[in-house]
Amino acid sequence: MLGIVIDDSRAMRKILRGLLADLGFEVLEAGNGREALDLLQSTGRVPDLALVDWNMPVMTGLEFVIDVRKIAEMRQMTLMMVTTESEHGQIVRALAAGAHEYVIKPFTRDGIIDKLALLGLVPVGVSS
Amino acid sequence: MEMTPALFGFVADLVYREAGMVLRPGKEYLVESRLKPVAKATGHDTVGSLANALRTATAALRTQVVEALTINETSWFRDREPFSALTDTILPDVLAASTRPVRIWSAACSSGQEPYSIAITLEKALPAGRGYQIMGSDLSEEMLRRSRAGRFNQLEVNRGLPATDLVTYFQRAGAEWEAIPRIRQNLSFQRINLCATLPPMPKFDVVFLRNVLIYFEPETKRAVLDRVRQVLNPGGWLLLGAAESTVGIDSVFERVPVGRTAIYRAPARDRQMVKEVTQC
Amino acid sequence: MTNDVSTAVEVDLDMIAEQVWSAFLNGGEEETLFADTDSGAGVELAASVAMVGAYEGHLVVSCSHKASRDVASVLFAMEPDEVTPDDVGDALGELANVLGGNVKSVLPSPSQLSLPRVSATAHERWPGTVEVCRTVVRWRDEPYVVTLLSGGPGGSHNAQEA
Repeated sequence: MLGIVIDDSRAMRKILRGLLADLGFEVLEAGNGREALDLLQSTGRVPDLALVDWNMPVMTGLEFVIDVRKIAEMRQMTLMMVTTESEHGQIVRALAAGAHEYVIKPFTRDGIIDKLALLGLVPVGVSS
Repeated sequence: MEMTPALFGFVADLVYREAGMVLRPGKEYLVESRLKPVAKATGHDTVGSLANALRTATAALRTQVVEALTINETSWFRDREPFSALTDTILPDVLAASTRPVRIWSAACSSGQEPYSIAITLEKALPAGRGYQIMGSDLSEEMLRRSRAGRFNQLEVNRGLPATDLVTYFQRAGAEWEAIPRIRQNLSFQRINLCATLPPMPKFDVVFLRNVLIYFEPETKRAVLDRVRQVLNPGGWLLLGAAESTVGIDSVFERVPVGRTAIYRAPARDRQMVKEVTQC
Repeated sequence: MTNDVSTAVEVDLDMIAEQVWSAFLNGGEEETLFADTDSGAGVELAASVAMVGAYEGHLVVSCSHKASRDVASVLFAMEPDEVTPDDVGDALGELANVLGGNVKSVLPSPSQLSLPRVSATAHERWPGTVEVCRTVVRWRDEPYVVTLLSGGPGGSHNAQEA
């Protein structure tokens, strides 16, 4: 399984990378939506999963979701927002734009794993 | 009294035997912080003295200690399979059997994730116009207060509640999320001790009794299952935790395999009824 | 803001701070304590995010250099003496971002959150703002002052309205 962590905080990328790596993912990183799109397009790789922050410089996570949903080859990528944006309306917006799941920061390791289980990316029962 | 390695070992042993949870050395802080309220409530000055008293304690106190040490943030739709069994197997049967509102009891509902998960499942699965009632029960007044409020914090809603369900069935309430009134009106909560005679209540179509029996001795398990059967409609359904079964404890429930798990069913008519029918 | 609103926000701010520390910094083993709200002496660094829109203001988290290294060392899983000033800026900025986003959701919406900014408190000013409420988290013997400010450039009129 291939995952990409898109977050402008290096600390957050490190935490999420470690978590996905523990679950057996190979992990790519990008510091914003534009960087992620460039990386995926230049390497031609399509991750199974993208963890996407919302507020980032250059290109926000919401813009990334909107753009990436227009690219036919990337349609099978599962998009999960991992962000501190936590208003009801923001979550609705992200889902409407094509995000499959939404995790609100702060999260626990089990919170991320439970959501990945919902998406069928890890087996049920991995979290405590 | 100090919490010695020997006392820690005793507590760890107890938790492993009763709940299958492994407490490795290094988790002393967890034992201290979780058991401090139990020690206080049971008149022990220190956690060490509570741990020492456990050597000769009643089953009730041991259960209390095990519970305090095993309580975790509960996941929504925990284990998933019981909820697919509810939608795929149980509801079609219950809906065909009567036109009354579907009645479900979530026993030992803790902070409420289970009864609210059941409500969300029914909201999606029931045909329009079909009502439902869910009763949640717990021994702890604090858990009942939290369940009644129907409020969950950010960390709790992250635990496996699908985002589409979050925005459909919850609204923001300050820093928390609150179940919408349409759901809450179908839920009620009551303090019930499963180890005592149950209060009078209308019968249920389904009882969720998950991860409760593991805490009880065999005779108590039998008595609890017997009481639960009395409040189930004929042919009503029982769901247990993944590591629990009625097999070897209660021969009246029928085991029905579903997917990788099993659910249990009360006899279609109780014996009294069958007798009367044949006599007529 | 009326006192009622600021009291409600203060309760939410405590709850949010408690969750952020327990999920990101404690790993379940340490207690997050709340300290006296004036025990903020010795703060040297401030990380902030601005809110612009229906609510105008800032969420600021400030602490000592040592405290900021503790945060960075936990988030980056490194020893405190290994973390670089860049790591500290990143970690403290993310802390402000997470606190700010959660606080924004209990304030009038819609508002937008800025990217975090981190600097020495000696150089940081938020002209034209008023303090709405604050909470002081004591973690590993260091105070972290979390302050919600209202108003600021272009938004001072909202401070009275909200």
